[in-house]
Amino acid sequence: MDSLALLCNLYGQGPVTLRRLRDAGCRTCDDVLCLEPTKLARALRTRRPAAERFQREARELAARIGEFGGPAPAIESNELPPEPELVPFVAEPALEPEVAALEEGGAQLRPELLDGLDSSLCLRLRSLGIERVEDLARADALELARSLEVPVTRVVRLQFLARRLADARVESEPELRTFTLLPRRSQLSAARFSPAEPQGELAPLPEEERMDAWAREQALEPVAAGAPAGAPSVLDGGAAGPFGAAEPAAEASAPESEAAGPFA
Amino acid sequence: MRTYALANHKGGSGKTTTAIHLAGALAARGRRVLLIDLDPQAHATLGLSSEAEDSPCALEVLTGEVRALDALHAAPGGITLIPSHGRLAEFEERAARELGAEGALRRALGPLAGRFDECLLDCPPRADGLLTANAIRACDTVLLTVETGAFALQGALKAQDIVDETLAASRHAPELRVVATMFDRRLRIAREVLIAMQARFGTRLYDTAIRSSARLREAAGAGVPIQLLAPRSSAAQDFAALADELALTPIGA
Repeated sequence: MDSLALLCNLYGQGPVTLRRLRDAGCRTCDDVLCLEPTKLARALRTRRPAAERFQREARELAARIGEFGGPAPAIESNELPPEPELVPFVAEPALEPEVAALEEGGAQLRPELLDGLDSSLCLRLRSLGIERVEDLARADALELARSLEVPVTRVVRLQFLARRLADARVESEPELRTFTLLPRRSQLSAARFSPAEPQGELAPLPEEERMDAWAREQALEPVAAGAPAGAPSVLDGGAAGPFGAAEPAAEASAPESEAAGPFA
Repeated sequence: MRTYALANHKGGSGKTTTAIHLAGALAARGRRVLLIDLDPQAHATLGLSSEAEDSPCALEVLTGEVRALDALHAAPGGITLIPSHGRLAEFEERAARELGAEGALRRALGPLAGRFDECLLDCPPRADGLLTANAIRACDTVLLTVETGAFALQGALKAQDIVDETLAASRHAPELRVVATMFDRRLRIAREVLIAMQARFGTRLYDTAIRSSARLREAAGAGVPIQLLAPRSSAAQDFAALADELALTPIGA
């Protein structure tokens, strides 16, 4: 077994990966490292992040078995090799590109943001209302696995990556952001509809009411500036027309079907 | 006819499983394959839905009571089988008093040389017994099956020592090759053992490590090679790749 076959058995799909790599012209781990990640991904029929991870594993393995420093040392005695804890065996995946991508596009989930998060899984997560990395990290793994119909181990791994990505994102922010703590929707509702609370300036208004208030201000301003007090306004059913003549309030109080115009 | 003896001193290393499914993979390539079950436990015989209760088995072939041609059974997957039975355990006792008992199998297989392309000998889990000695004398390649688990490497090294001693006592010098079995890459111990095996055996270790698979257990239960039960499974792919390696490797290379 050569180093390439060993690599494929350890980190790939065994003979399938070995055949694909040999078809791509690879004979050693060094050949794998020399390939462009895109080409390697194409040869392995996988995604670029997986190909980059495979290259990191190839580098680790080549360094360990001594491919770069001569032949692998043969074990002459009947002893097992040293304890694996001495040498980091599985390279930790680098987070920098993912964090950078997260900062560019926010915390929204998208395909390939996390290892193993493909487009179909991303769509299914969104259909379940999980759109952010933080949402994924907080979700119940068992229920999520049932809903997505995937192994729970996959969900746990995705959640682990999501938590780590979220943590890395927080750590990568150099300064604290100032933000306003908004009241909850339930608190707003209680404040607006509670008879005991005075309707002060802080009480939020629905969108229609705010628009009406804004329209009232816009309409009142010119009238208030140029017209005498008591002049009719849009609020009274009449308004200053485009030629400055105020339309009679009686016309404004006509039936809605007539005042609404032909597009009503 | 190329003959492979699947041996290891350790039990449960995947000898019988490898023998059955490698035979199936070679037969699927169109090779004429003979599998001889030399284990008195007869697991390879059972694993191919056969039995030798009332028919000649490997014992009669080894003792010369029956010709090998008369002991052939057709097994699933296009494999031809010389079955085993519990009475094969008597061979050690009966042959111990005879001279040249280690060459009995080699003599018995002589007439079959032109009838088959490949012959696999499934040895009992005892590398220093007479049955294994017969297999080693009769084969061109000793295929050491090594489980990628704890104590496996020590067992393999011990088996290698015994094979070397057996070979040193005779002029016959088969090639020694190693195949890793029951490999589960999710387990750290399995990865470490595979790396250690690669360091220890180098090019004598086949490129293909047979991955552990539930399909293999199902195939044993169904009594058929994995190529018939799940031809697209990872296990079937592994044995096909191993068969390719065997076919592409000339004897003595």
